[in-house]
Amino acid sequence: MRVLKIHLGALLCLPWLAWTFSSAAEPSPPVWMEVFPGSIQIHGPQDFQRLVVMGVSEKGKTADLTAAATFTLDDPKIARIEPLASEGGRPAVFPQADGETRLKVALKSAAAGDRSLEVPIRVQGLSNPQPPRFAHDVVAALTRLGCNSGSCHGSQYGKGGFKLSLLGYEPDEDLVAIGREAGARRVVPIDPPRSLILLKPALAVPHGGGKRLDPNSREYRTLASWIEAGVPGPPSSGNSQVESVRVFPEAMLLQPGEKQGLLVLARLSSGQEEDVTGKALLASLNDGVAAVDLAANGVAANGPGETAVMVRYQGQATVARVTVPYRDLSSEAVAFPANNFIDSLVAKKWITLGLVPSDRCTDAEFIRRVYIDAIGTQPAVEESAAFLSDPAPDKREKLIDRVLDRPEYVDYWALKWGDILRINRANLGEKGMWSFYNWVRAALRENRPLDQMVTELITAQGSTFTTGPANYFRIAQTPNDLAETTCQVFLGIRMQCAQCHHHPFEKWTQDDYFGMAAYFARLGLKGSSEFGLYGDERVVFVKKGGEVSHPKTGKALVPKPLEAAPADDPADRRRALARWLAAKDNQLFARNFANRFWGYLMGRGLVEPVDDVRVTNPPSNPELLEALAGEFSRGGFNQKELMRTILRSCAYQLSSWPVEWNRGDDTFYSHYLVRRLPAEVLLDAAVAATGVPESFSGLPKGTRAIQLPDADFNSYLLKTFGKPKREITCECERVGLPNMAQALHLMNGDFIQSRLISSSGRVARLLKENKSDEEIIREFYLATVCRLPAENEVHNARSFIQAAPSRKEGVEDVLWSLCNAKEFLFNH
Amino acid sequence: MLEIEFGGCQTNCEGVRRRDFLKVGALTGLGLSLPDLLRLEAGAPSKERRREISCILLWLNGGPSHLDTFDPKPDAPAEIRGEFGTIPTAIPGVRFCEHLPRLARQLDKFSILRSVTSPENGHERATHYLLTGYKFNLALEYPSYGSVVTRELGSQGEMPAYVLMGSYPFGYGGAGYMGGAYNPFSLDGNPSQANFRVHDLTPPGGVTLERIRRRKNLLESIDAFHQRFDASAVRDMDAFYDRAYDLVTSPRAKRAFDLALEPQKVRERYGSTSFGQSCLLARRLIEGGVRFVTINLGGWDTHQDNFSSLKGHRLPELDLGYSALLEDLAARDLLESTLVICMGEFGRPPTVNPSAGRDHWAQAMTVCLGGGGVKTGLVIGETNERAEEPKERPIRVEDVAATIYNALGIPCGKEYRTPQNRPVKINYDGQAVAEVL
Repeated sequence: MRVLKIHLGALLCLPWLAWTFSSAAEPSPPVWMEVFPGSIQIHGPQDFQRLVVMGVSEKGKTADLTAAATFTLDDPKIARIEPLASEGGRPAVFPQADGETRLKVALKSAAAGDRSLEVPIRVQGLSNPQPPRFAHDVVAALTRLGCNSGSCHGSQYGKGGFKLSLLGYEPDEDLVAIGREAGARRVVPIDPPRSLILLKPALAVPHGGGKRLDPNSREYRTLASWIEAGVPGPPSSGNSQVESVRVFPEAMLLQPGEKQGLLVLARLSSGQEEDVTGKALLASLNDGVAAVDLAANGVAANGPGETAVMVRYQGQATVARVTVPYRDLSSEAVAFPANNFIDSLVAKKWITLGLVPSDRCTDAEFIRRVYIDAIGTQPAVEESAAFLSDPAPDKREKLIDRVLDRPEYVDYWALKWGDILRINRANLGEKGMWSFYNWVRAALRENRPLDQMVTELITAQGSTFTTGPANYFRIAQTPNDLAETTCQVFLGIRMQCAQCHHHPFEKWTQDDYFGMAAYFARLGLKGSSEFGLYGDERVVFVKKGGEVSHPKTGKALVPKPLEAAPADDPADRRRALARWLAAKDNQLFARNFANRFWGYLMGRGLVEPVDDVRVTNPPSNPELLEALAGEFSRGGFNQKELMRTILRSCAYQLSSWPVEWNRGDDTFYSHYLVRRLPAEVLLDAAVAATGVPESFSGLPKGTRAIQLPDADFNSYLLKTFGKPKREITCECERVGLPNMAQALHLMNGDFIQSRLISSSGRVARLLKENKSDEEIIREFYLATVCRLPAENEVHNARSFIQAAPSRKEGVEDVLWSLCNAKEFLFNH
Repeated sequence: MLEIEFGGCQTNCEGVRRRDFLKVGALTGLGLSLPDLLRLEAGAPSKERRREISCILLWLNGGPSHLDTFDPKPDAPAEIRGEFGTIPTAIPGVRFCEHLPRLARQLDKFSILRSVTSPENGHERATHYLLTGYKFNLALEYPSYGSVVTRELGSQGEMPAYVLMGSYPFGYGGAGYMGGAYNPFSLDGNPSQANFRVHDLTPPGGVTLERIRRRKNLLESIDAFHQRFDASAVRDMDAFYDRAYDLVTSPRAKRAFDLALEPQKVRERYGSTSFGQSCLLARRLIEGGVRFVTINLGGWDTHQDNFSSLKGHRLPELDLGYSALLEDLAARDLLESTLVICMGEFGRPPTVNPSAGRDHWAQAMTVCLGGGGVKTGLVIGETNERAEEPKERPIRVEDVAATIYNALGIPCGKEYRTPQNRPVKINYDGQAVAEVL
């Protein structure tokens, strides 16, 4: 379908003066007019086509001009224009007779005179009217009315003895439920108004779901005429499947209070295009930015930010983007230095949104931040001091390179990978756990390309003791579990819903789910005698046969990757999977990891949560995600390089302190996102600050929390601060939220206190070395918040020490306070 | 026929109340007209502002045998009824297992739902179901009752709103998708032991309250010098520090958590077990302002030696602790404002396995409810003669959840959003058990 566009030439008069922004020096007049749809097909007497006219200014500002436009038909015998009262008088084209004509859409322009566009119209099917179709009209009406939602008849058990498929994804089952069950009382073709399916929702008889249907509504007429026609089922020929759904406008830039009508078109497998605006499900992902007005089939902008409006129809989904700028778009653009491509793409988004970035962070903030984000470690006192006094202009780049080459890089990212892959001894036994963990460490140590790492993992076989990655198949074992895990870890896609029904927010079907599961159908796990009967060794091997069958049809499914043609490998199905998965052109794979690493370092994924990628959860900056993914795959899937690129960007190096025009933003990286230190990093930081290590059972003294191979260590601090148990494949298992037990433990627990008074700790050493109060305070600041204290901070702490009952107690309390300071607990 | 709405918060899927549609046809038989009915509704006691109800949940982890506790079948063949005899209760005609003599005498203080039934026979799924009112869902963990109460009502003063004693049952009992802020304040350890103390509540050795105050002042001044944060997580942490500080320095909290303040006689009445002393601590916490306490009592998964383990440990400690709790709450005039629930994730089958154990059985189980304004002394529902399924009045787990929320004044139909922005009601599809409300 085409969109018609025309340049409006110059400033227009009404209504765009109303767009004048609050403090705008000049209004932002529309320079383009767009008309949706660009051509109109009408099939049958029930069909009609809504119209949307939108204006676009040079700065991208949009406005709904439908009400301001005039519509003229060449041949009023073929079609007529009528306002839809229920949608605020929005015009629609209704059929009169089979044939073709043209619609002229005109706008008045003060400078350029009238501007107009012509839309071709073709009307057919009037001479041969068809009854409402089951899936497209009847089920769609029930969906829009909410009848088959998960909380009503679409629930697992239905409701009141009447069960429909969730959101109408299984029309054949619904036909049986509506037309054939319950003694066929639900539909009465000889007297349609007596049908329960009309009586109940219209509340003519009691209905647990209350009144859902107005007898004067279009939905009521659709249901009634379908019943009258004898309850026809879906046609046996499959040319009426919905192939795709599109929404117009796809992107809007509105001011709070402004509205925009939407238009949803479905393309059927027959090639026919249909206006399904009134039948599709519309929902905003963030009502605070823009809310859907379902009665008007439009959106209303509420507050600054950006949101997607989710559009779903007959198993297909898409989104429209609504942007509401933070401030006047005519304000002067903010100059922002670019270190690399990230910065220009981030800045592009700020300009659209009227956001202004925060300042560059200080060197002290930078060194602590980059150490924590890249290697989960606080810089040592000497490192901070040296960096702060280094005059070199490129010292940040050098620091990034140094940090990424440190051994803690392996520790910290092995911890992350261990979480993602759920490496734990409860599932693997101690030997299997170490074998898997050490394989991850080795891969990180040599910075093994990610495609290679993933291929080794997906195709692993042999002993779980000697082949680390084989343990992947011991954590998840069934084909279903492996398909879900693989999709979530390597693609960021959650397939769980599609096991039992069509994914309600996605296009994924049960076929997709079991097509992925089929890759793991021939996998076996057997015992081995090498370590004895109780040695707990397992061997992963490929069996000769084995299939995964569809739960509804019982048919065996061929292995098929998501969004790709079936692919198999005679020797081992998983080899075909690995080839597809880690291919350079598998956008799902590259995007997933680009997004994950961006999220880990920036505090929020471009798609968030990072492991919930779907059409209806679009990235906040698609261009940036594409660019990062492209860079990552072109660079040979080099994890460390990807991190280096992100850390070098100016965007990463912004202050966390917001400025006036980005205060409300936590999505577009206009300032660094403050986050609490992860549990392990916090423990290590407190240990480093106090100088007293923690011991973990079975590991050498001095082992750090980021070096723990799994989660089976009894540490109240780690547990309370959200170290994941590695039981589920979800980033959400690591909880970063603060709670009272955390505060209690740090302020009143033994962990900090015992380290303050330890004879081997920092306090004891400094006192023994007879350091002055000022020297002690300076070292404490460097050891905790990695910066030198300001003069008034030194003064404050010194007076405290001098007023304390004893110098020792005063010194201890200063370090206690710094270990509880927000500046210490958070990365900023 | 005309039906109109009436009554409390028995919400169905659309927020429309269903069970309490009263048929006017039936009512006119009683001489009530529609306007009468509307007047009745306007003045209905359920619409009055009640005092806030706290809750203590005694969670019998592993699934207690209903046959060997609250739903014995003395007339069934020996291979079904098992080794235990039965005794009469405070309610004529109702019998309990012989090893629950104190609870039998207290049946005027609670009611039992004998026809609760569920399809979930595995511990994890069943625990999630019973503790949340929602079926297990791989993609989403639902919040437990205590977490919902925390979110709806908040905490009272310095006391935490929700306290869990013992571990999370099969990992559940927390806030699920609502996030850590609504998790319970979790107490480890055995309160019957002399060295029992609440984690981090008492200052570590050598630190006086005076020093804590000094430290807090210093911390505040250090934070104040460097106020370069503007993030909700930081503000939340600040608030938690304030609450933690209040809790640590609060004489009320200190007293509430201190079992040593109880007279020896009272401590003995609850039994010297961890469970008994947890019940006593729960009462103290409710008095101190905690809204919801869950006590997790394990040991009910009796696949082996069902009878000896129940008789030897579980039943006596349950009988002692639970009955003491009811008695004590009543004596202190707290029972009317404290709902006491006792249940596990499922019942156990009528058959005894070769190891003298009973396995899992979700088709029938008993849930006990008392206090908090619920009607007492009632037996709702009945299982068949083999105690294997409801004979009448099947009560689903959703209905149990709706009953609990109803009693606590929580709006079942209120909608939350999951992190994926999915709308989820507090209670889905439950019909509260009207007989006890």
